Amino acid sequence: MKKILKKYLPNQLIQYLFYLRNWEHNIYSLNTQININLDTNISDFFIWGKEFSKIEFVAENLRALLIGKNIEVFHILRFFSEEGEFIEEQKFSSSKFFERIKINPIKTESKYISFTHFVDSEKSLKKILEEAGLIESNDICEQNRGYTIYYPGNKNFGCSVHGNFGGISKNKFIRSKTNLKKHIYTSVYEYNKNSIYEIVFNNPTAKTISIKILFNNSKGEMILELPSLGTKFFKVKNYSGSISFESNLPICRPLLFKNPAPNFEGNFDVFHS
Amino acid sequence: MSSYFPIPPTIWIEELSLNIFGSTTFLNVPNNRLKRKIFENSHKNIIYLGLYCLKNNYWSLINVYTCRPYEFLEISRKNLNINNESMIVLVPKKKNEFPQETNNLPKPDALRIDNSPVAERSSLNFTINNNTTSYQGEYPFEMASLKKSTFLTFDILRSSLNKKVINYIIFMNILRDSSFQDDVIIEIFKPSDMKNNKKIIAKKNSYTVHKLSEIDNFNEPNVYKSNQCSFIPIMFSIDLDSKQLSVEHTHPPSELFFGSNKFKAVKILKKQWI
Repeated sequence: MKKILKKYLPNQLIQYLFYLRNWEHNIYSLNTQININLDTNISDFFIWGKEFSKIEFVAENLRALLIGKNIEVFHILRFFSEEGEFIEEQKFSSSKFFERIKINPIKTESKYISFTHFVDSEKSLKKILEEAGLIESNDICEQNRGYTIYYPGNKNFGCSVHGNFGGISKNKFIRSKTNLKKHIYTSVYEYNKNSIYEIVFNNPTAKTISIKILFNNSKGEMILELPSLGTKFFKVKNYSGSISFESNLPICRPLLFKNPAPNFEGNFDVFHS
Repeated sequence: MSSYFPIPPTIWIEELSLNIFGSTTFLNVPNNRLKRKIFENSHKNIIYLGLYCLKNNYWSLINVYTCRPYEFLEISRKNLNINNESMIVLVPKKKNEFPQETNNLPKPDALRIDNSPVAERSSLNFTINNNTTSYQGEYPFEMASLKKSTFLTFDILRSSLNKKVINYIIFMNILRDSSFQDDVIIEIFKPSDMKNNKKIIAKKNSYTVHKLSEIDNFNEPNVYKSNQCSFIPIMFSIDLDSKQLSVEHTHPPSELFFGSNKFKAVKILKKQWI
C-alpha cells in the first residue's frame, strides 16, 4: 500500500496520512516527523547510576563510519537530575570509530539520573553525506544510540545494555510525545522472589508523566510521577511473576537492574525490560 | 510484525568445564496495547508454541507447548537433546496447527491486538549454575524471509581482554526455507586495516559461536561483514572468577539514522564497509 502511495503522492502527504492512521500510537509529534533534516540530531535517553564502581559509554563516531577513516569529533554527554534539571556536561574528544568513554564521577544524591549523547564536529554530517553523493537531505537525521556498560562491583567486568529510545534533540527541543490514551506495556520477564530488582524509568517527553506499576500476580499497584527529563526508580523484592506499566507514553520500557550494585556475587544483570 | 523466538545456544566453557545453557521465556500477553476505557478486551487467547529443529532438509516439529493467558513458558536447551549450536525455534500460533515436517517454517502469529509500537519479544537467557543473564529478543519474520541480504557489525561490547574474561560473538541466523543450510564466509578486519582480514565460516539456519582472541588489540574493535547473508549478532562475555555474565545485541546500521529517507544514508555507510 505504502509503495503504491509513494508512486503517486508527495512524501510529506504520505507521512501525514500514516500519522493520522496511527494517531493513537505515534512516538513523535507530526511536526517532528515531517520537519527533520541532517541538521537535526537526536539522542536516546541513557541511565547513570551512583552505586556502580564504574560506568562506561560506548559512543559511535558516525562520521568516521561513513568515510571509513578516523575523524575528530566531540562526544558530549549531558546529565539531568532526578527532577529533570540540567546538571552538567562532559565533553570527550576522539577520532576513533568507537570510543569507550569512562564517565567522570557526578555529584548527586540521587541513585539514578539520565543523560543524552550528542556529537559535534568541525565537518558536519550533512557535508560528509553530500560529498558521498546524498542529494536529498530532508527526512533523515542522525540518531545517537550507543551502549552503556555498568560495572556492578569488580572494575574488570561490566555488563552492557543498548540505548533506550529517547528522541531528545540536541537543541533541547524534546521530540518524544505523550499520547491522549494510555498504553499498557508488559515486559516478557519473569521476576523471581529470590532476586531484588530496581526498575528505572526516565521521561523523554516535555510533560510530567504518571506511570502506574501493575503487579499482575498480586493485583498490587503503585504510581510514579516523572517530571520532564526526570528519572525515578522503584525496588521489587519478594515478588514472582510479571509486571505491567500503564502510562501516556506510547511505549514504556524501563531499564531493569537485577541484584543491583554494589554486587560482587556474579548474579547482577541489566537489560531493557 | 510477527516474530520467531529462537532458543539461544549452549556454550561449553573449556576453562571452567561447564556449560552455559541457553533458554527462552515466553509470556502470553500482548507486549504493548492501548488501555480501553469501555469494552476493555481482556486477553483470553491460548497460544500454542511449536518447537522446530532442522532434521536433514526439513524443519521438524519436536513438541507443541500450550501457554494460557498471562502464563510464562520457559524452554531450556538443558532439557533437550539437541546439538549446542543447532537452530531450534519456537513458532507462536493461535491454533494448534503445526506440520510435523515442512520445508518452510510456519509463519508465526502476532499477539498484538492494536497498532501499539513494539516488536514481539521473548526473554533470551544464558545460565551458568544459578547466574542468568537475559535480553529481550526475537527473530523478525521479515528477516527470516529474506532471500539475499548483507551483514555488518562491530564487536564494540567485548569486555576487557584478560585471562579471567572470555568474550564470544554469536551469529544467529534463521531462514524459513529449510534448504538453506550452507556455509557463509564472514570477513573480520580492523577498521584501520581493511586489507588484512581473517575469515570465519558461519552457517545459515544455525548459531555460530565465535570465541574472540585473547591477543587481539582491545583498543580497536573488529569489523564483521558478509555480503551473502544477514545475522543477529549477540555479544556474550563471562568473568571466570565471579561467573558474572553479560549479553547484549548490537544495533544494525539502520539504527544510526532516523527518518523516512534514512536508508539512503545507510546505503552510503554500508558501501564503505561491505
